[in-house]
Amino acid sequence: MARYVAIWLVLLVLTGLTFGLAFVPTGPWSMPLALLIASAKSLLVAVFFMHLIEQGATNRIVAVVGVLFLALLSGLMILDVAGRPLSQ
Amino acid sequence: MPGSRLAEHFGDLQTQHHSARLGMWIFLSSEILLFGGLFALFGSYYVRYTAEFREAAHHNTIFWGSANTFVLITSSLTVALAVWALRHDEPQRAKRLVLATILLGVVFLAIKGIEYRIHAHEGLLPGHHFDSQKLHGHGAILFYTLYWFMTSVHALHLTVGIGVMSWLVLGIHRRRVDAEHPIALEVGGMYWHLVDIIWIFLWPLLYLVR
Repeated sequence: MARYVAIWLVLLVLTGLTFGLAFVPTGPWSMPLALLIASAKSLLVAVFFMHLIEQGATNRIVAVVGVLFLALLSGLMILDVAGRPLSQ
Repeated sequence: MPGSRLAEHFGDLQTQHHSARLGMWIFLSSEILLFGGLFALFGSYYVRYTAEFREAAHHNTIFWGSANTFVLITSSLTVALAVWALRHDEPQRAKRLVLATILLGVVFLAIKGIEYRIHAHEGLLPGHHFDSQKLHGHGAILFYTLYWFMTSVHALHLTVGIGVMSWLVLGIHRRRVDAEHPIALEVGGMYWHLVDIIWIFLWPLLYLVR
């Protein structure tokens, strides 16, 4: 039980960090930094709150494959759009 | 009545619970891809209209959006504690924690409603309805169109989650869901956590990249 409260506190600290960074001029790094912290928070939620830590490899593979597909599909789409010439 | 809980095509309850969890992970993966389309669209327009997107996010209701992040993360804690309590055979405590989760979900929706009202007042509406005094340009319209789309799809998911949690309160009350058979609360909780994770990403994208 104390473990869940500890995870919640870590999540709040990371939330505060994300909020604080919004007021620091980080330029082109603001988006990657925010996404990195969001990913860390999501990992904590999935591993502890969603009990991935106590479940078998099958469930872990399904979860990882879902995230991998998302990264692949949206990542390639965004790269394609970013790489196009700017003429309208 | 363990006999009635065990579906006949499973050898034992443990196997049944395992496949329920696996089924939920597969469903949640498909949910990730549903939101993935919206995230891909957001990312694509962000790289095209970076300055206008940042300007638009700067005008968003950062106080309410951030308050809602706190509300939803705390609701994830109450779900996790409810599962813990039920596993340790404390159904009354579990019931109270699920009720707290429902309450936090309702608070989230109420705050979302306040935000929508502010946006409507400022003309920050999707598509052709966009009519802002402060923000101009195609990027701002795209940002707020995606904002309304993403947050309303998310709010719809949360509403379903509130329904699931209400059904679980009844289940715990009638002892259909208990320490021996907590699986419904576990997989219902997994769904709730995913809705939280989606918000963990929506919050920086829509409010903080400025």
